[in-house]
Amino acid sequence: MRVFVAFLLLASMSGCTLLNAPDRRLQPPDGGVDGGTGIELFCDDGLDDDQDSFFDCEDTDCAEEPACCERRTPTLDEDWTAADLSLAWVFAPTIGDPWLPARPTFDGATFVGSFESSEEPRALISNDCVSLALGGWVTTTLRSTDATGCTNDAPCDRYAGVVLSVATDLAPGSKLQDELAVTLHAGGLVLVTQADTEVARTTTGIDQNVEVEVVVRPALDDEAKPILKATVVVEGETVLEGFPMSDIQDLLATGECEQIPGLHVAVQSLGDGVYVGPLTTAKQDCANPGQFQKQVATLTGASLGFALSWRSAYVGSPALASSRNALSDVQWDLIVEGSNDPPELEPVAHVGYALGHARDTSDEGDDWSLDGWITSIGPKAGDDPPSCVGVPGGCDDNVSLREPHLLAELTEEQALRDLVLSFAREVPPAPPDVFGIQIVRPVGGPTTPVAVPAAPTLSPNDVPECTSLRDPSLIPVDPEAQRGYWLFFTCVQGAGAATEIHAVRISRALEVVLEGGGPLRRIVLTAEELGPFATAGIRSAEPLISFVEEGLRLRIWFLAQSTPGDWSLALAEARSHDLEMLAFELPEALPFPVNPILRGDSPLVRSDCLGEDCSITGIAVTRRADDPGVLRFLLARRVNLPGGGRTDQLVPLEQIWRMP
Amino acid sequence: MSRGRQIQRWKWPGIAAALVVLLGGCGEGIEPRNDLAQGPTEGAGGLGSPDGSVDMNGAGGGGGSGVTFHGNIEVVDQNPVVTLVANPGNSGFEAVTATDMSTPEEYATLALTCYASPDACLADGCGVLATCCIDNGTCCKPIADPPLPLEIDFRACEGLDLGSCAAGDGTTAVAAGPSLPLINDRGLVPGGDATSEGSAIIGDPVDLGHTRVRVDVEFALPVGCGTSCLESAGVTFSGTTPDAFVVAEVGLLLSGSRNQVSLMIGDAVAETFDAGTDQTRWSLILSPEGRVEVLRNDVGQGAYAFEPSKLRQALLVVFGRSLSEAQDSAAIRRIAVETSFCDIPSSWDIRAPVVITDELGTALPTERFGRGPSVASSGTEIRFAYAMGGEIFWGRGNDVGLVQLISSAPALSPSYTHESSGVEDPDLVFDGTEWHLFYTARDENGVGSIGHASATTPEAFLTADPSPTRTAAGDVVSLDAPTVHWRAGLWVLIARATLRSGATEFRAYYTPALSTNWERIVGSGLEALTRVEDPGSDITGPSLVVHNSAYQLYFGRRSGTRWTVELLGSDELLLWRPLGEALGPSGDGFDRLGARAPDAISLTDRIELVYEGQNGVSFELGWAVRPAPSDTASAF
Repeated sequence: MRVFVAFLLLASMSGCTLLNAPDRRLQPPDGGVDGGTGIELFCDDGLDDDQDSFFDCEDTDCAEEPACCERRTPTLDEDWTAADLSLAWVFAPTIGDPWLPARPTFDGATFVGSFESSEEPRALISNDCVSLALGGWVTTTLRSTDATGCTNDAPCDRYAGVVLSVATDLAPGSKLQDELAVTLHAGGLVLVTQADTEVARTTTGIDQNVEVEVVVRPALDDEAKPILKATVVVEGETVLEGFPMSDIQDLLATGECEQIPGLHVAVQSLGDGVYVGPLTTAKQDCANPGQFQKQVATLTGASLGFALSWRSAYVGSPALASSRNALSDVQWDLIVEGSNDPPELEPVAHVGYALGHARDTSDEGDDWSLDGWITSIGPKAGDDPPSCVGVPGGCDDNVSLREPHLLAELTEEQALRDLVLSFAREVPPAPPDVFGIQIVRPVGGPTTPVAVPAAPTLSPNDVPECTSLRDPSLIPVDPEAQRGYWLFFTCVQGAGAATEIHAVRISRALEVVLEGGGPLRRIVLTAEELGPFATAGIRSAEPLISFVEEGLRLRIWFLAQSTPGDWSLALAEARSHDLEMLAFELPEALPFPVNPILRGDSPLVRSDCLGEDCSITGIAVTRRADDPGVLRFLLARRVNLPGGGRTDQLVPLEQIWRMP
Repeated sequence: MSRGRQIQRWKWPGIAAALVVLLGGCGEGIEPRNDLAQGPTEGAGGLGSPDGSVDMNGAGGGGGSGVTFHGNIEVVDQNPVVTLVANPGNSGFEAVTATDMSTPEEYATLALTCYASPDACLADGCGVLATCCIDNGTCCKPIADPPLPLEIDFRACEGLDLGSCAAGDGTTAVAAGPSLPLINDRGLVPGGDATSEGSAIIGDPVDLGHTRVRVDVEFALPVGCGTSCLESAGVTFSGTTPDAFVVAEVGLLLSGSRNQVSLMIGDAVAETFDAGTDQTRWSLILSPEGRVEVLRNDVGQGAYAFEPSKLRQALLVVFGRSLSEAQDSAAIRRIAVETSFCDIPSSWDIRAPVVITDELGTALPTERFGRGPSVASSGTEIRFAYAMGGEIFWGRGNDVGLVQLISSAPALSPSYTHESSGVEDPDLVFDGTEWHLFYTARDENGVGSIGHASATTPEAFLTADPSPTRTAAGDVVSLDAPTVHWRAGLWVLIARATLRSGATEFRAYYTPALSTNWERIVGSGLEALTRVEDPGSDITGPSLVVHNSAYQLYFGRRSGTRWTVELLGSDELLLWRPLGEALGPSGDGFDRLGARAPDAISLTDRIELVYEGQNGVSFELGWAVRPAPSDTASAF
């Protein structure tokens, strides 16, 4: 029996799940508990989306979502006992006379306060930024020992508290700019403030520990803009819930927060008799699709051994598949598009592309090698050379092939049973640069050529809304793909950037499934509904689907740009308990709350580049066959060289998906 | 997307949220509304129309649900529109009202249309409203000394080098790429080859953030160019100096092999058109609000969005590739350029910290932490005031960002009981005779009222009136942050009112003379537009000016911890047009995180704005300048 991603079935039968996001340890979804076929789509909207009587985070569907995740990784743990606090804390204001905090002990714990000033606030500000963008916690204990002159219904001039701030210093006479502050005043009043404006209050007693917890979680506001919402719990009582605290784009993204933006945490105090106890912070340990590990083996057209004749000016848009073979742990199949003319010439002339195939069979579970690739040398599919810009007579009969995608069909042993290759192809006699989609199976090895049929699998004539179809990718309808596939593609509607990703149902026989006289088609993503990060267009969907007993999870990575040319990597997710739905329907995909997950100007994209001369040109995503808990990405970037040349690199990245 | 076509557009959180709102019963109808409906209870107003057929959605007294202008002369009686209009001499306003003031519904009908939505100014007839000229890239004035050439006919320069050709047309042209363009009888042949582009920079940099540019270009199509030739020629604006390649942020590019002219935006093709012939005249009209229109022989081909913020120092570049013999290559026959400048509220040329010196010119470093800056012009000098420590100081603005105190002593200190907690939020006004200072006076309980002081001679200290010029009353428990606009026969006061409910909103008043009482402007939508009931935000620091026949009201809005300066426009102080962010975070320096407490002055060719810049640690005084033409501003 043909088996597709058999390891998934094995995993599900053995009781574990692969419905993992990066760094996740999933709890089983509630399909078997509530019996419903729906899913709690929105985990912070106050509604019971799947009508299983569990709302939002009550529903275990949401257990791994940032809005509900409860797993913590400590980021700061301060008990105030270190001899020299200045190693970890800035004594602010940094101008003026040096000062030291009092460090009394209450109930066996050390507190800080009484910052040697009754005239102006002072603060200890963490040297390190604390990551919060994916959610986090701040916990501490406050204590007032002397209420003299103060009451519990009004602020007074003696206080101490914890502050979340972008500031690294304090202006003399001013308070810290507080994104959120929880402050105990000497009389027992606890104020929650933002911008020094009260947003919540409660009262407590004197000479008692007051436990404070601040919980922040990412969410989208009404304009689909990522924000952090804060909940404040004082002595077990929620005094503030879901308060919109900060735009995520306003958080700090340097130092310890380079990968996950955050804020500084601070202790601020004025006067005597109010103290802050041990202080801890933690970040969420659930989804972090923005966390990548860069691998060392950056590939190029040259390192892969492709002949210059067809790829001398460009290599990009990779497709990647992973399987096991008899010789080593992992076999990698890589197909790229290439051209002997640079893509930058496209506005002035037709540039043709072809596809090349490379295979690495020597990966023993670590990084792949740079020089062990077996390649097609010439194009696996397409013409050699594919492009004839500036050549008298040209090559008008060439058919340009672009943007390959590979779907691996595996045996139970995760050996490669076959590859399904999809790619965009020109569709003569339509004008150049009008593309349809071709799907091919089997694909064979690198040296096995693929002939391009006369007619595409899906033509732009089949999809009237689209003038051209680009960036194909496939997911199976069922674990073994016996009922076929969903074909994702970018719908090009004019000369400008595309704004929609569609999907068409494809049968096992690689024919378009019809509905009402046309392809069974769904609109998967629309730029204008995704948020500001996608305002100027989206393309290149890379879907991965996981099947388990309880349901399915579909993740779609795609490229998005907020302004023309600044492509970043984004993520949308869809889930359903209904495994049968895929035959006719796709689950609704929702954008991850903290998009984009990899910005075009991030250090990961720009590393080893000169200045800002790197840009994302394509992305491939696949699971490692030897470790389904690891995703491998292949990021294609185009690099400007000093003096005017350009080159292309394929940068491998990995993300860890933890097993339950 | 039609379900009938079996296409499902997936829903998103925003849709779900909208459904929640609708299911929750919050929808109040499907008619477009100005969102100005809720009325305060202070003062007069609250007149309603039985049929409500022309609902101006203004605020009303007595808890009225809205004021209509439809045939209700009483409302006009209570709001002297002709008096309140920003510029009674504005011919556009006269066209609507002066012919028959007994039918104010004509103006109301027009205004309802023109204020209905952010793009309502595009509706027929709305061009007569001066507010429709704000943030409008079609409403501009020619630049006296344009940075770009009016015309270069390259064909007429055959035999000349590029620089000489440009000099003949009174401009400059400098080759930028690795290969030199040349000029022959076909025009400018850009040079370049398969590995690089030839290019030249024409004229001086231009700020497309507030400049409207029309570029006409005629291409010479290459001769004998097959389907794969590289012959190309283009004209574009670029934010970077060309090297081997030109970054075509917004421009036109002729492709010989494609026989197409492409509109390039963001260095990518945004649209393509048939190239036509050598006689085809292509035009790009770039409007600073981020809209580019393409014309082919003066026939519109479409309008597209581009990003002016990347083009604040834009270079006009001619470029292309020429592999054929020069006599066959693609070329640029002629270019012609028109430039004008427009009132684009977010397009600031200068943002500088304020340096304050004493009478002797010695810098006073701590004064940069002053609060609530104000700036005003007497026609011969600019004065600057700020608050610090419950007192108000003033000086002369010698240059942008440079202030010399008239005296190191405060210009105004608390003197009366209603000022016992201090004076702050100064607003300077010159009425043609003397300087006036309006300010927030706080009593021992922190309750604010609006104080007034004046100086009879330029060097004198300000003398405060013994009692406030306006106090809180009715549902208002405190008034603060005043801004006052004067013109002959009219004083307008806008201040922030704190209501008994704890909410705040701006309220507007007017008086013909300071010796008479301030009358509240009723029916204004300002209150609802500026009302804040959420502790997570704040609106304060209004500054009212008349610029180019329209009221411009700048104010600070806090969202979370971040402050931005926003702008409202109005023609008559009754209807208000939200114009969005005018001054936001600079990303660097003293105002990298935001700006608040604005105070503007209107000059004939620009707006100057003083403010407090936010850097995360403190707020420091700043001074910003942006070009903006005006026919109603001071000529100072």
